[in-house]
Amino acid sequence: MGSILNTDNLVKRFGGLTAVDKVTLNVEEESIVGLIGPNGSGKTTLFNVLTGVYRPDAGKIFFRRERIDGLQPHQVYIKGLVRTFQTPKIIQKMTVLDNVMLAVRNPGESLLAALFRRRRWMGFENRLRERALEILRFLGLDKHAYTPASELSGGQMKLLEIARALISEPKMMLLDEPTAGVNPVLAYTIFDRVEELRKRFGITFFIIEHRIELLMKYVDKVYVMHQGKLIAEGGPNDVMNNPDVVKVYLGSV
Amino acid sequence: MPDPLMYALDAVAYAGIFGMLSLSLNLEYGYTNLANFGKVAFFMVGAYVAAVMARMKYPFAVYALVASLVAGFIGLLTSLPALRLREDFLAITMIALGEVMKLIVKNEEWLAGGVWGLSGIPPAVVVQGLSFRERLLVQIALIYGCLVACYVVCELIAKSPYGRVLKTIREDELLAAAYGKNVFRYKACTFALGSAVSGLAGALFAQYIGTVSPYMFEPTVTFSVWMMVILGGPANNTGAVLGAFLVEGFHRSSRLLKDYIGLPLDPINLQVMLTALLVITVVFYRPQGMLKERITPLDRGLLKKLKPMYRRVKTWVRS
Repeated sequence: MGSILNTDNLVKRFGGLTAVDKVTLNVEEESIVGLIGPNGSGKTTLFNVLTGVYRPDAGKIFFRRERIDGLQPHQVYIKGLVRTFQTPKIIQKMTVLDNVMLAVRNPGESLLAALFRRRRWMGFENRLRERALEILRFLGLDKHAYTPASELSGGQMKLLEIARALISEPKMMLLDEPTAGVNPVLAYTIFDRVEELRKRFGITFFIIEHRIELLMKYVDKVYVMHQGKLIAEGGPNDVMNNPDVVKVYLGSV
Repeated sequence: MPDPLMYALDAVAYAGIFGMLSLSLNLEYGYTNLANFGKVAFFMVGAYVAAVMARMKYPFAVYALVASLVAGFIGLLTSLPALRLREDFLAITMIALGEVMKLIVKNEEWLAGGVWGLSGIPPAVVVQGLSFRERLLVQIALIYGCLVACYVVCELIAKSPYGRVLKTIREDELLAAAYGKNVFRYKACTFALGSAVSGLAGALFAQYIGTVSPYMFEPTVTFSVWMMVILGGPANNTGAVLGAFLVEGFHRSSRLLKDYIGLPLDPINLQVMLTALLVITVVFYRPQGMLKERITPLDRGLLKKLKPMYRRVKTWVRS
């Protein structure tokens, strides 16, 4: 299996602060890779650079051997690289179902089709609804499909984020703290689902996570970030025994 | 002695024209969160294009179409640079655009009669031998026909995947972009469509009044339309039309009020004060507007309701 995502000396600066400092990483296809590091170490910024929200100041990004740095976020999405957000971005004034369905590119999303060719996209829309309900069932949200998304709990909103990312059938998903603010049982459920998705559909995962003991049970490989730099990489055991990582997390003695 | 019924019918006609402006702003602001404070500019463009063409004896259908196309095209052109700005700066830019457009028609005398404007615009539908009141009713029929058409267009948009994208952009642009929507294109498209509807309203206005001058297109027009959308309920098309009726009714009745109440106050000021009071009251106690946005999934919308009705009518016609 080859690599699906790799970067070459990626740099992102904000004024004098270098948030992402010469990051070179490599994610193998159909693997689950973790990204850990203290708060403010640049993890989310790295995700933002990977998905086109920020343009990198230097370096290259390859996704399935294709350069994607400099693309707009919606172009990155079309390539099959989808992300979720640290604080769930939920459209409160839509039903849960619509929140999921908005992720898919739909023939009814052009103005002319919306006005004149309604028959054509309605069939697509109906099939899409079935698929959305199926995904909601998989994540245990189907009971809430028709309720306004504002009525969901924090943990359910996290699941909704994942459902939305799933429906577009991505090649790879970047999850930004999928279990933040989620109770321990649900957190395990989320990771079990991730594992299952990797097995069933061959989706690659790159996950930012603060619950290290949980993350380590599932990942193939972990990157550790500190002050914008990658300071360690390797299997879960190697990383946890790495003196640099211990120092970053526990402070120098 | 003025005829009170005529006054009421005139108000109804005005409410229809402003209802279209309100619908178009609702599309831009209510659904897409584009703070278009230059509504009057596109209204004016439509009115002037219609005025010039109507005086050249083109039929209404032609000049209404051209007026909305020109307004829509100008809307598209302004949106290309303006939509790169953040929300509040867009609002300021659009206010300025409205003023600039007004100054252009005011000063370019060859184009549209300068400060005197254009007069003698024939009404769209001319039927011989009608009384003034009957002619007014014909006008109202025409205006409400257009209003219904605009309403249907806006409802179809709101209840389509296109409308869902607009709502996503309104709530969170980053989310829309991260899920494959070309945010800029959607915004520009919506802006152009809203401007085209305003242009159509302008064409109706020009042939209804029979004269256009730069002084009719002050920024207060824009603010009235904003009041309609905010009072009626953003992201609710019925609310936008209702808002147009409320604001127009309020304007008219407060104008009448001054004849009956003797106040040591300029009545114009009184009207402005009452207007401000109304807006503050509604925003304070009912921030979502008179009719709030409905959260219905697409499959339970308008069509579901209309289809059985349509079938019933069809079987009734056949039998």
